[in-house]
This record gives sequence, structure tokens and C-alpha cells, in this order.
Amino acid sequence: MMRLPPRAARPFSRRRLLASASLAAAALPFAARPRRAHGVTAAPLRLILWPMMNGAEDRFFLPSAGNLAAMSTVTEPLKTYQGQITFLKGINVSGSDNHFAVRSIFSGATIPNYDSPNPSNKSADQIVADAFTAQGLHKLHSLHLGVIPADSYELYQLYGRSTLFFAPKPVDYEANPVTAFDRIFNGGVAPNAMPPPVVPNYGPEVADLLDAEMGEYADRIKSSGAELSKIVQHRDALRAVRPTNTQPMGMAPMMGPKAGSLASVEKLRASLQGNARAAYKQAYYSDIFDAQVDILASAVVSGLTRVATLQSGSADGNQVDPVGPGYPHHNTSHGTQDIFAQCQRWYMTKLARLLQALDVPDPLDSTGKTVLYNSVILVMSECLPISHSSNSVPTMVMGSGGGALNAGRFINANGATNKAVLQTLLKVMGVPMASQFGTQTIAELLK
Amino acid sequence: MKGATSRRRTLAGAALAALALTACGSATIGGPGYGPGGPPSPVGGGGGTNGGPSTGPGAGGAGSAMPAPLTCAAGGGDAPGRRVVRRLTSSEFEASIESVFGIASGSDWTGLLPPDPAAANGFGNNVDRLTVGPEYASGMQATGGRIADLVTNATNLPRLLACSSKGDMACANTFLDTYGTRLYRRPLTTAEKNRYLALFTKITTSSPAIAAPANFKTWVYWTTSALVQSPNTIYRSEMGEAMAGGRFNLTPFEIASALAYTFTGGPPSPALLQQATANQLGSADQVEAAARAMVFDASQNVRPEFKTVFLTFSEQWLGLTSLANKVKDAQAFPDFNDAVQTSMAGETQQFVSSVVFDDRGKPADLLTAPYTFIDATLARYYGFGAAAGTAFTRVDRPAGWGVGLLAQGGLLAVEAGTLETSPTKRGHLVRTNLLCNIVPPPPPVVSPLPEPTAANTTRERYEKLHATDASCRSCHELMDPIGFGLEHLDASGRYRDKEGAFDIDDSGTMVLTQGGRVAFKGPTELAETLARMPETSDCMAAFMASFAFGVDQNEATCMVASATSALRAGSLSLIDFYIQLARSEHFRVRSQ
Repeated sequence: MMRLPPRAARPFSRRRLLASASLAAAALPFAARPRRAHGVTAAPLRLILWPMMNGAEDRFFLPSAGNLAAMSTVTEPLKTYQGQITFLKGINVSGSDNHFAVRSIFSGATIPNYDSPNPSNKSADQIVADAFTAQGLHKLHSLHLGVIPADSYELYQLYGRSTLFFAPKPVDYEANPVTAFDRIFNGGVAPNAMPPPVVPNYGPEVADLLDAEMGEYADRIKSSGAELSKIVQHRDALRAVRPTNTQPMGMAPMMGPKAGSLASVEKLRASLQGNARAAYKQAYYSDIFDAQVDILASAVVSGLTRVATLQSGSADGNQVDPVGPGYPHHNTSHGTQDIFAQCQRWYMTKLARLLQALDVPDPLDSTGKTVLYNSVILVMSECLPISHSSNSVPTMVMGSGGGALNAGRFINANGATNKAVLQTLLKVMGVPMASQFGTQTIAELLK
Repeated sequence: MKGATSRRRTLAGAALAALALTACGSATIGGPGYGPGGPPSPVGGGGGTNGGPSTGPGAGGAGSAMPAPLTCAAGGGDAPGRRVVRRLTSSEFEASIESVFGIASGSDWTGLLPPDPAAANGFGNNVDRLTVGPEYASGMQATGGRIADLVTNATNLPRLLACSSKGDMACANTFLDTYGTRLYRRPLTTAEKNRYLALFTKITTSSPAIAAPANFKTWVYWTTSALVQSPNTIYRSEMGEAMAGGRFNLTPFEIASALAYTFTGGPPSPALLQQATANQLGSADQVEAAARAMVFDASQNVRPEFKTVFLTFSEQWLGLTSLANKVKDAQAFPDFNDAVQTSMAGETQQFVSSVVFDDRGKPADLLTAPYTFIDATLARYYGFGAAAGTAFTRVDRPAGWGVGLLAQGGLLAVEAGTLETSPTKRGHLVRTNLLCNIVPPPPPVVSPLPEPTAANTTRERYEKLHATDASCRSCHELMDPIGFGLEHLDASGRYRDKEGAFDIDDSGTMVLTQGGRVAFKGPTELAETLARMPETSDCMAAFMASFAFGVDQNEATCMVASATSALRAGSLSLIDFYIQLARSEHFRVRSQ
């Protein structure tokens, strides 16, 4: 029999972690026994990445450096939180251009063309999530929610389109907020949660049996490298979700106190429960957005996870923004920019919803700081409208990083790259610098 | 291996589809001229704007891009493709479970897997895209558990396994021989059986006090869960056995699986597995005969399973999967609603079914059939024909509404904006999915279209930007002038006599691969022009083979060169071409 590569370090899948984390979903159990963070502050830090698809022209996005309080056309909905927002002017996406730079902005990979290979390195959120998980700082490795992240269910992860990527596969976004909520919080009938089995648990034995079959299968096809890599990936995936004696295969452990319902999720339940395709209906776009923001906030505030991303639309997709009669996002980005600025402003109302939800006392922080204060939220665009240049893309860092960040500033970072931003954020999160992000940081961001 | 050119090509298609409205660039591409068969005669490079296809030599204008045709480096013969393991799609998996255990999908064991990722050509069954990561593995665990629950419930277990009340080792063997074989699509090896039987021994010896039937139920539960998750179930092996000359013969069981999933969307029947056991799938004749039996019943009616397979292909080929998600401007198109979108999807299914299944049509028929199908919703929406309720009725299209596929309301609505048509998108669809031409991806920097005003038409706006700017023109002249021919069909798929107050100029031109261009006027002439082009037939062949074999169309075309020639020559209908795929060497042999 062929000797397979060493067993992977068992990275947690989102679904498994969503399932296994349900005990923590009610938030307060975590608050009662906060884990101290690491690195530059002792605060319980959170990291949220928010790609801002298609960008905005500086004149609509950047506030006047001398009058930050006034904000800008696009960011005015965030005005309440101006003191927690630092604008970074002049950030270039290193080595990349156009919508495909969305694969670069958080990974630091160079993606100069549509047909460039996908990044093989982890994005910043995964680096941080790995570190937090290893330190036991949260139960859920990371949370990835999508708001119609493809033109249709059937075009999910359409090859060559602009999706955020994590090694070695594109991100699996949960696009249905009802499914996401139920999996995370067990708020309803969790799709993956089976009733207690009526049979004794032999899940580990079955896992061993499957592992043997994977090895045998790999041995049979070892002369084809490409096909072998599929089987190795499959085997690693099975190992990552291996059941235990106490957590049977496919079982989501029942959590203790329930998280309660979220009105925004319940509003969609009748339409979306058990209906994955319906979550790609444009008619639900705004409502799904609200629900996903609320789910993300609930998970992050509770400390269930400290790392999350939210992708709304796809970079070159045409989700219709409910602005006026409705504008297809990408097409509008090529048109009159004051109209497109209104579209992007609409997205900022959703971001404001998130900030509002995070602006609450941190249950993990006995000093009374807010979750927003303890958070780092990176908003970055992949390219500019019309020109599709990835130089000087809109970039904001929100939150105070537990006091490590210079919040409420306007920094002219002219010439700095997304890599420098990411490296700086790793530093704030107390994670060792990643070689893929180079050696530079943005000192002005740090206190 | 998938060639770099192929990959670039599919990416280019996806990219341009996304950025179709305004992409401009200076890239030019070349390509060899026409193959045998002959295209419509080209006219001069000026691009006539009236009359039908006319004749005369010519070449594209200065700075024009040349659309590169589909080519096969392997030459004229069929070239077996690479060895692969193909993960079942969600629908193939569900069909397998339904067939093997007789439990219906739509119950609580479906819908737990992440969506199947789409390839650049929109197909959801690409062999390189269907992999298993933690998300899928976790979903499959849960799926396996739920299927095991159903298999072992009080109703199903006695039905599936009469000996279950006895619950002995012999019955365990029966279960593996019956259901394991169906799931693995071949008999289990001794080693495989021994692993499952060792689990039986462990369960029975661990709980000797428990009655045999209860222990047996526990074993069936966990064995079912494992069988469902096994790589032997999840993957269709097309690896073959090494032969001389670097070739690999697919095993009879691999051929049986390939046949069943290609022509029924589900697993091989016990009878087909029996044919494999008897080594009756070794020759092209035998394989074709088996395929034909899966497509037609004894009365030569097309079986429903094959209809579903082919209609899934056509929906994905034509990019219609996003139709249900399309939103149109509510003021401009107040009648365009969910009911209309649903009926439009049904209209195209009925149309394709009629041409392909009922009439045994050829590629040209798909493009030029003068009829369509409407229900009451579409009769009201389109304003022609009479139909009652949800039943579809065949009606001839009124003059000006075009013919064939390109006049389908759903396709026109997808390849358009919310308010306006998109000659670029429509032209791009023709280039990439009907002609299989290579269109370069959009450049990094593009200019915006002129804003819509009440003073100019969509065509004028496109021409103002794309035709006057040389860098835009080089690529857009491959697409926009095709789309102009459809300008009488609006963004919601309906005929319009005028665009606002303005007359519509629906004359168009098509740059030909061998140089020159052909002129046409309106959607019917566009369809007739395409129907005469051999590239159209070749391209349909390539996409059908792509779907059948799970590889991209550029890679697939070399595998089916002889059948493609026959389709082009008119000696095969579309459905016969699909069946002929089973005769290709690729169905029995692999080269690397």
C-alpha cells in the first residue's frame, strides 16, 4: 500500500466548527471565563474582513483630511463611528489588478490576470484563525458568510470569477442565513444535526474504515498525480472532520442555552429554510444581508469565533443594489460615479449595522470596553470603478484593536501595499509576521 | 492535462461575460481558417447593413481581431482523453441513493452538501472542479447518517433485507453483495468486504447480550454510513488498466458507470452491471447499443432520465441557470416577474425537447425552428398565441420575433442588463457558446459607456464607444455587431418595434474566422447565418462532449472528432450525436 503524506494538522472546517461550537453560541458562557488574548494587547481581539467590491473614486470615498467628522458620500452612514475608523489613502494591491485582485487583497498573492493560478497561501484571516484556534481562544475557527456570492446557485464558485480564496480551495460561503443561524446557534432544526442515534456509536471505527479505503484508493491511482491529489485532499478532509467517541459522525452536539432568535433570520425562515437555491434570489438580497450581518455579529460578540468574513455579491457580479429603481452593481460601476457612490453608500448602511451590533460591552472583557473597540475590521476594495486599477483602492480599518490601533485617523499611505496593511494587522492580532506579506508595516496605524 | 490555451480560453470567456458591457482592449488573436464545409460567403470588410448574407471576398478591417475557431491539435481522429476520477455531482449522488435504496430524494437526507462548483463554461460537472474538502466531507457525514437512519428504520430494513430479522454473518454478506455492489458499481474486493465484516464481528462481540437483530441493525446503520461516504461510491473511476503503448483500458465496470451517469444521470442498473460482469461492454458496438437502450425505450420514445440529462446540459450551456435570479427595472418592465421567469425557463425546455427529442433535430434546427412554446403566462406576457393554464402549447413566432434558440425570451433576458439590452453580452454568448471562438478577456482599464439619454439608442451608444475607439473595436467588433441583430428583442425578452421614439437598426455583421465578414439583418437572418456555419455544429458537438465527459469543450473536441464530422455533415441528429459519444474511444480507452 502506498504511504500517504503525513496526516494534516486537522484544520477545522467551518461546518464542523460551527457544529462543535454550538455550546458556546449563547455567548455568556464565554464571558464568564474569558481567555486573555496575546500579543500587543491583552484584549480579546476580533478580526473581520469585509471586501468592498468594485471600489469607489476617492472623491466619493475619502473624507476631507481636515474634516473627518463630515465623512464622505459613501461613508456617511458610518458617521456615528467616525472615531473608530481610520482611512488609509493610497493603498495599492501588490502585483494585481482588476477584479481578480479580490483574490489578492487578503492573501497578498500576486494575481495579475484572470487566468493566474489561485493563491496557494493562506489569507490573513486564516492565519489569525489558525493561531487563535491553536491557543484555544475560540471554539469556531472562522466564520464565512455570503450574500448572494454567485450569480446563481448553479454558478457557485464559478471558475475564473472573483472569489476570495483560501488555500487550497475557494472559500465555502454559507449563503443561506437560515442555514447558517441554525448551524451556528441551533436556533431551529439544524440541517446537519441528526437526532440522537438509535444505535451505539461506531463513528470512530467507520472513520478508520474509510481511512483505509482512502489509502487503498490512493494506491490504485497513484500513477496519476492530478487525480491522486484529489484523493489526498479528500482523505485530509475526512480526517479533519473525524468523529470522536463523544461526538458521533454527523452529529452536532446540542448546545446549552439557546441564542434566541434573530428577527432578521426569522423573517426569512419560511422562504429559505431548506432551500439553498432561494438564497440566491435577488428579491432577498437586502434581507439576507441584514441577517448575515446579524449572525456574524452574534457569533463575534459572543466570542464563539473571533475571525469572520462577509462577502456580498461577487467582484464582477451584478447583484442589484436596492438604490432607487435598482442598479446592477458591476454595470453601474462603469457608469456615472455619483450614482455608483450611492450604491456603495447602501453597502455602508449594512456595515453600519454591523458596527452598531459590535458597539456593545464586550462579554469577554471585564474592563468594560466594547467589542468594536476590541475589533479590527478591514474594509478593502479590489479595484476602482471604471478604470479597474488596483492602485489607491478604498481602504478602511475600523475598531481600535483593543487599544493597539490609532483609530479615527486619516493616513496618507501613498505607496504602501495591501501586504503592509495585512502585516500590520497580524502584528495587532499578536500573530507572527507572515513572509508572504513582506517586511513592511504601516507604523502610523499603530499606537 | 488541460492545455494552457484551453484554460486561458475558458477563463477569457468567463471574464468577458462578467465585464461584457464596456470592455475595450487592444489584444488581437489569430487563428486558422475554415475547415471543410464552408461558411456563409463573406462580404467586404465594410460590414453591410442591409439585406441578407451576401457574397464576396473580404477581410476584417484594419486592427480587427480574428476569432479563433475551435481546433484540435490531435488532428482528425478521435483522441482518448486523460484518466480521471470524477466525484459525483449532487444530483448524481442523489440519483444513486434513490436507485440503490429506493428512498426518495427531497426528504431530509438531501441538501446537506455544499453546491457543486461551476466550471468556467458554466457546467457543474467538471472533473477538475468537483473535489472533496472539509465542507463536503462534513456534509457527507451527515448525509450518510440520515440515509443510514432511513435504511434501518422499521419500514425499510425488512424491505431491503429479508434476512435482517436473523441478523447473522450470512445476512451481512448479502447486504454487502447487494447494496455494496450497487453503490460501488462493482463487486467489493475481499479486502473491502473483510473490513465491513470485521466491524460486524466487533459489534456482535462487543454487545453479546444484545439480540442479534439489534446488533445487526447497528451494523447496517454504520455500514450504510460508511458505504455512502466511501471513495468508491463518491468517485466514478475512469482510470483503467495499463496496456501496452501507454494506454489504459477502462474496466467493464468503469464503462458501465460512465454509460449510466452519462445517459441516465444515475448509477448502472443491476442489468448493466451484469453486462459488465459478462464482459459485454468491450466493443464500440456493445457500448453504443447499451447507450441507445438508455436513451430510448422499446417504443423508441426518449426515456425521461435522458431528457433530464440533456435539458440540464442545455440549461447550463445556454447560461440559463441565472434566469430565476434576474431582476429587471420595475418601471420599464413591470410585467417581468417570477411567474414569467419560471415560464420562460419552461419555454426553453419545451423548445429544446421538441427539437431534440421529438423531431430528432440537427444543430441548424435548434437555431432556426420557427416555433416556440407558451403557456398562459407567456401568452399574456409576449402578447401572441393562445394557451390555457400552465400547459405549454406550440405556436409559431410572429414576424420579427426571430427564430430558434436565440429568440428565446429567457436567454435574451439573461444576456441583457436590467434596463437595456447588451449587444456585447449577446454577441459574446454567440461567439463563445455557439461558435466556440476565443474572445480575449477585458483589459485592465476600460472606459464607461456613454450614459443613456433620450436622444440615442443602445446601438448608437455602443458604437460611439466601441466602434470609434480602435482599442475597443478590435474585440468588440467580434461581439457587438452580432448583438445588434437582436436589438428588436428587448432586455426582458419581448419584441419592441422601436427603442423609445427611435427606429431600431438591427443590421449586423459577423467577422469570420477565415477573414472577412458576413452581413445579416435581424434575428432570423442571424440565426440562419449561424445555422449555415460549420463552426456552430462543431461547437455544439464540443459542448455536448464537454458535458458528457466532464472536461472543458476545448479538451473534449479532440475526443469526438469523427462524430463531430458526422454532425457537421448532417448525417447525425443531435440526439444521435450524443449517443455516438459512447462509440468514441474515450469511452473505453484512456491515453495518459
